Formats: sequence, structure tokens, C-alpha cells
Amino acid sequence: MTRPLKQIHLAAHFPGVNNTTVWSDPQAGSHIEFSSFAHLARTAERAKFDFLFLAEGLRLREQNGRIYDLDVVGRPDTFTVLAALAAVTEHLGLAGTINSTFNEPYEVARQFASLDHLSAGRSAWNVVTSWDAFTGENFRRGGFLPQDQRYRRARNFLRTAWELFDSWHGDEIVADKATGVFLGDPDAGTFTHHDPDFDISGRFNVPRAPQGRPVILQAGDSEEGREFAASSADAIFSRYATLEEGRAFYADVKGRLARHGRTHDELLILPRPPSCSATPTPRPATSRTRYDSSRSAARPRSSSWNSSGTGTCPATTRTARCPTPTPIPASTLSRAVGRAYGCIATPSRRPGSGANEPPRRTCPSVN
Amino acid sequence: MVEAERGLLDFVTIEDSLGLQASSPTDPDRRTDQVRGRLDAVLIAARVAPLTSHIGLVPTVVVTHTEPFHIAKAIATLDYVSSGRAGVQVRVSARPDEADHFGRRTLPRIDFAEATTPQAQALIGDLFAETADYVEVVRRLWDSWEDDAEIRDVASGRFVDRDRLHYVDFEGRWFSVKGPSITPRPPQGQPPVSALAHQSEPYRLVAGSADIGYVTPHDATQVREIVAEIRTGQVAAGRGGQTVHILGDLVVFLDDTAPVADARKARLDELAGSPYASDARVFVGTPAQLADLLQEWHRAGLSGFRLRPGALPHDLAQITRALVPELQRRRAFRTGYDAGTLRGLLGLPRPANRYAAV
Repeated sequence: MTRPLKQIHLAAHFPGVNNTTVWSDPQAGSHIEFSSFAHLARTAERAKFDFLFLAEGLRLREQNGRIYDLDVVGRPDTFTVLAALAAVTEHLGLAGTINSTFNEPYEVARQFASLDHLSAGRSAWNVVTSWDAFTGENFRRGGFLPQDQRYRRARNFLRTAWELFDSWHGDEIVADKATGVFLGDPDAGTFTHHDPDFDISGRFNVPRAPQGRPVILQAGDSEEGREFAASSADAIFSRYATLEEGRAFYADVKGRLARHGRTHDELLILPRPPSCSATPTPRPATSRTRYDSSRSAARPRSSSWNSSGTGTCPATTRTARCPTPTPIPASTLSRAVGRAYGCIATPSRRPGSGANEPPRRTCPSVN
Repeated sequence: MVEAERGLLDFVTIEDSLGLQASSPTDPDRRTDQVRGRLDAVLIAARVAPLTSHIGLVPTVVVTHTEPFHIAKAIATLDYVSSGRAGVQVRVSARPDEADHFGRRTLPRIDFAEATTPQAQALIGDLFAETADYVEVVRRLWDSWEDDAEIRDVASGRFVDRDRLHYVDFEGRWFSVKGPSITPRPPQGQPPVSALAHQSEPYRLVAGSADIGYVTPHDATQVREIVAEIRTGQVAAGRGGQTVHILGDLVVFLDDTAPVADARKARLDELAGSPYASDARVFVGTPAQLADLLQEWHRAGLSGFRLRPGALPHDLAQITRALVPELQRRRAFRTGYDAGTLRGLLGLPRPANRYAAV
């Protein structure tokens, strides 16, 4: 008997705010109208993709103290648009990036449990940490966190959320008309959680979701990020574009699982393809020239982001047409992809900021 | 939602809270005979938005403990996914048990039905002052993108005109918010803001900050008193010229005849173990009798009503299939949807952006 083929998982990332999104093409659609998200979701679902994925950004990016205006600017609220997408899809997973810094576990757990109910069990959570004072200026709570506390807070946030998800076991709602009993357990949803970051107790108000807990995704590549994924995630994104680098990453991450009492197959690895073309036919030279010579193509070289220029373009189905990729050495490409996830440090402009003020960082959401 | 839209209703509100439902205003209970558990109201609204096309969607958000930045973009996004039909009902949470769900502040146990102590008055004042700040931040964030900020100018390589993006720079007692929002200006510009009000502080909030207030008079005299207080408050807040709709809340049990309605309510009360009590007047009778009451209170100064069906789906169907036709017969209610946005249905013009240069 032949072994069944191992199946590939595919996810679709809505490009949105990103230096690789080609918005200047006349056929590029809106990045805020619901129709664009619904179109991507339905297309991905038709192709039986596992899930759709949204990134996060909680403050408009800036360079040198001014709002950065050369990439797509503007995005919807993640939970709200995913809930709306639940109405126009039936099977597609709905994954959102939600940070652990500018949120509280009770609220985020409510929202994921609600999304899971409203989608009949299709929610997923990409857990990220934001740690900068720059973004913190939009929020009552949260701000600069030293590096070593970022993942501690994320871990504590996730563990608190799990306690909330698990505070309902799934059998509490009896709704027996004959006896007039609605709740089988008078203490349903009771929880208490105390750690250095969260000291909360009470009753969670969302009954157990279809999946119990959302699927947990993780994207960090640092030592702490890999450890966090090994301990807590169901899937980790990989930014490695060559087979050799991918194998090293795989061995490293999978090698950490046993220490956390997990088996080899409990953590999926999802690499991001370095480039994919939306059309199979070769692109005529004229249009490549148009993209290469436009200011939007030249711009990445002038910033401290992606220094290799164009060549990466997500498969977005009709929201952008990809130019023929310029051949790029693998090492440059992986560095570029890495930089696309990196941060620009700009000097803090606030009056009175001293040498110890952490630099403002404008970071894409995936860390 | 679909049934409400079938009845040409302006909008539906969705309740929510940051804790489990409870029969006590201050403490959780261990009752097993009432519904417990709920879903996030904004997400319910977003989930049903694509299934409807005209009716307004007004989820409740609790402003105590939450981030105005998140709510601003959530309601803006609801406006996008509903093509301009979003609104919001803001609500405070004075419950100490809900504060403990966040662990960031502690609230004293105060029963606001007997809230005459200086401590209680101070707390109520603070909670509503925070709410007024919250609404101000949310409104600024909705205006932080001018309508035409997105320019997609290929020649200069600019996706947005950053001169049309504005920091909101709000500094207050409970939060500071820099802005701009991450979400462009909602299709309606300013989704309508609403609040439930039973007493002076929330009346002041409605007068100073909201587009819609839900009030709970029990007779026409109270209608006149409440409306007068809110209108006076509007003038004091410099909003005398603005439209603020005051809607009367009513719980309704409707049947073809009054005895049938009485009997049904009595049966439900028996099942529940006690007569149904509410902050709002409970009406039991026929659609025609209700129409009489609505017209009387409308003449007394209300813009309209928020009807709470006593039992679903029965009383909603009575509203949409009996009350609405009765009101239409009296030329007191629309015969078709005549506007594409919630502001349009409510007769609220699309506001100019406060940051846009004249």
C-alpha cells in the first residue's frame, strides 16, 4: 500500500500595507473596501485554501517624523472585517494578527471566541508583540517594553486567554424548557489568573467556541520567537526562501518541541514564497520598464527597507499585476525579505527626549 | 435582522457587556434559569452586515476599560462592510466585577438605583466624563482622514496626501491618543453615536455628545420633561442647532387582541417566576393600541422609538407585519427605504470634516 501524499497547506495574505504591494497599476483595487476582502476570500475558498490572513498595524508608519505616503496606507479593523468575511465564506479559515501589548486578554478572548462562533469554528490568531512607544501614543495602555519582556507578556497574554477560552467546557448550556434550567453549571465561565502582567478574575461571558481555542500562529524569528512558537503555537511562519535555510529552520524549531512536551507534528511550518506571479505568461519588456523606472520602484532603494528593489510581489489575484521578477541572488533575497519584516529606526522627535529614549520604530506588524 | 429590514425599520441595536449577564446591578449571580453568555456585539453586526442592505446596525460598546482607538476603527470598518449603515451605542460599566476582568482599576460596589451619596455621584460623574472624552476621541479619529486623503498619484509615487491626514492629539484624564486612525474616513463620515439615558448625567452625555438618545419615559408628561432637559442640555453644550434624535424605549408584547396579549404575558411571567420588569415601560396590547401610544408620545416630542420585542420571534413579527402597516396607514411611517445610509434614514446630513481646510 502506498503512503498517502502529505498535503500542502496554503494560506492567502491580503497584501495591504506593505512595501511590496503594487498599488500603482490601474487594475489595482481598493485596500479598504469590503469588496476587495470578500473577493480575495471567495477566491481563496474556491481554491480550497486553508485560511486567509490579515496583518496588523496600529499606527500609520512614519519616516523622519512624517507619515509615510509611498506605500498603501490604511487598513480595516481586523476582527470586524474577519467577522464580515465569515458571512461570505463557509470553509476558509479566518486568521488575524492581534498584538498582546495594546489589548487586554478578556477583550481579545471575547472577540476570538465570538468570531469562532460566528464562523462555525474558523478563527486563527497570529500572536505578535508590539513594543514601541511610537504606537503606544494611540493607546491608554502599553508602550515601550524592553526586548526581554515582550515575549514574557505575549506568553502571559496567551496563557490568560487560554484560561478564558477554557473557562467554559462546552456542556454548560442545557436550555431545558421542561425544567426551566438554562445553565447546567451556576459558576460557568469562572476564572482566575495571576501573573506579573495580568491579575484578573471573574466570569468569562462567551460560551465555549466550536474550536475551543483559535488556531495559534506565530511569526517571530528570534530566539524568543522560536521558543514561543515551540511552546505555544500551532503553526509558525518561516521567512527562509532557500531549501538549505528552510531545513535549518525546520530542524531548529522542531527540535525545541520535546522540551515543551510536544510531538514533532504538533507545530506546522508555513514558509512564505519569495515571489509568485499572478500570470503565467512572460511579461513584455515595456511594462517591466514602467515598473522599474517609476518612482515607486526606485523608492525602496532610497529607504532603509528592501534594498534589492522590486522582485517580490504577493499573489493577490487581480489586486496587482506582478512584474517579471528580476533575478535576485538567494542571499540578497532572504536578507531583503528579512528587512521587509524589520524596522526603521527614526530619531525620536519629542521635546525633551534624551539619549535614553528608545528610538521610534516604524514596524510592519509581523515581527 | 432580515425580519427587521423587511419591516423597514431604521436600525437594530445589539446589547453587550464586559461580563456575564446578572440579576444584580453590583454582583454576579449563580442563577441557572436565565440566559447567560453572549457574543461581541460589533462582531455580530459585522457578521450580519453582508446579509442585509438597508437597515442600520448599531452595536453596543462598553467605553470603560476599552481603547477608543480600537472602537473607532471597528465602527469605521463596520461602516465599510455595511456600505454606510453603522452606528454605535456607547455604554459605561460601573460594575466592580467587570473591572476585575481587566485588573487595571477597581470600582466600588455602588447600587446606582440608590446613588445619592457623594461618592456615588462622583463616580457617575467621572464615568460619564470619561465617556464624553471617549466619544470625542472616536469622532476625531473618524475625521483624522479627510475623505480624499487617498490619492494614488502615480506621478509622485504617493498613495496618500499626508496633508489630508491629521493627528488628533487628544489629551485627557483617562487617555491620550495621537492618531491618525489606521482606517480611512468612514463612508458616512460620522457614524451616528447613541446612548441610553435614565437620569441627568447620561442626559447630559446625549445632549453634548450623541446623535441619538434612548430614554425610558412611562407617560407623555415624562416624555416632555426628558425632552426639555435634553434640549436645554444641547443648547448649553453649543449643539442647539444640531439634530439629536430622542427615541423612547418600550418593551412590547403584541397580539391581535388585548386579552390574548395579557394572557401570553401572564404565561411567560409564570414561567419566569416573576413579572417581567424593565427600565422601560412594558406595553401589552394590540398593534393599533401601541400605534396610538406612539403617536401621542411622538407629538409630545420624541423623534421615534426603540421597541424591544417581549418575545422573539413573535413580537418582532408583530412589529414588522402589524404595527408597521398600521403606522403606514396613518402616514406616520415610511413605505420604503428612501436612503442608503443610516444617517440618511435618520435625516442627518453628512458632516464636513473638522480638520479639512475650508
